[in-house]
Amino acid sequence: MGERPSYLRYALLGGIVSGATIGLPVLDLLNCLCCAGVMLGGFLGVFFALKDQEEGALPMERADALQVGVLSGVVGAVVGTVLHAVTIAVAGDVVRDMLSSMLLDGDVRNSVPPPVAEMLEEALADEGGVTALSLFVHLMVWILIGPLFGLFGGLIGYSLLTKDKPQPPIVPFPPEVSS
Amino acid sequence: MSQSRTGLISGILLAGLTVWCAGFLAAPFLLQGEGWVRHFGRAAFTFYGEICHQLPDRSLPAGDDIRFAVCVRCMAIYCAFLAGTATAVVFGIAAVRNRQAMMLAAVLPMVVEVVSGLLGLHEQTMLSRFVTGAWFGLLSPAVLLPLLTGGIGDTIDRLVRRPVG
Repeated sequence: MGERPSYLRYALLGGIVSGATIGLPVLDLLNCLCCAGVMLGGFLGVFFALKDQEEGALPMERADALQVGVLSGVVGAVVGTVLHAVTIAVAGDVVRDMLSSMLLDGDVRNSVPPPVAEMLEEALADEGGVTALSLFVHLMVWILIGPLFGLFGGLIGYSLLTKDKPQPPIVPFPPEVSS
Repeated sequence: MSQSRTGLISGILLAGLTVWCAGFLAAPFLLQGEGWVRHFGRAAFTFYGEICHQLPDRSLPAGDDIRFAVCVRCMAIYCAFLAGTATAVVFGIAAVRNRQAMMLAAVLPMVVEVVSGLLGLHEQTMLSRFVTGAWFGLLSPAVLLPLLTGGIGDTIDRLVRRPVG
């Protein structure tokens, strides 16, 4: 029987893609569609793992796809936070500038609900820039979201790219106890 | 993997999904509150803002001057996924014979709608966003839930059976 291959490098690869969509301006817009960028990272991790599958090795299983997805989300959160910090340090807060100029536009200002506009103005008024605390909060938020959506990306990839194996049905919960 | 463990993992997943959906549904009402309640509302809007554009013209209203914390497409996906998962957990679902076809059937309408909208071939509306999102959310648990519960169970088995030393 073949050996179980290590999928770590594919998770890292997926994580770099996820991180780019988390931390880089413009690319981060992908995550506005239900975290599509992070799911793409999980999907690509599984895609490349399946593509590089060697003959004789154990085939990729659902648990492997799940782990690749989760790990790519964790790596993506870290990479994304680093890229976020570097982007702000080098180019300034592009999104902050864009939102500030948008809020100055009367039409845009009127189309945003007052509580949300007020919240945005308060946030934009904070000129603190990138701080250790803001980076920590960014990392914590993405450590929570990244693995969750990376996992679904990995499983969607696995379901689309592998041949069917019989899956057990989902039984009602709590299961009926036979007497 | 035992059926009771599959059921337990599904139940935990269902609880997590319920909290997730309650968060974006409650956020606008919390934001209108005072003190700590308002802070929770702001935190929820900031959190969901990381994964959704929250554009007012693409989000359902939660009152006179406030919208829910995610857009109508995200809301349809999450709520339908919750409904699909709840149905599976409560009533059970049969194994899907062709999961590739099922997944494609779930995801294609949404992808076609988004791409054709971006290319200007089709005008996206609240209804089209809601219907394609809900379609994906309802169908995808049939494929993803067995993979998810099975994958978590297999991972636990691997960890438990891993030789020490």
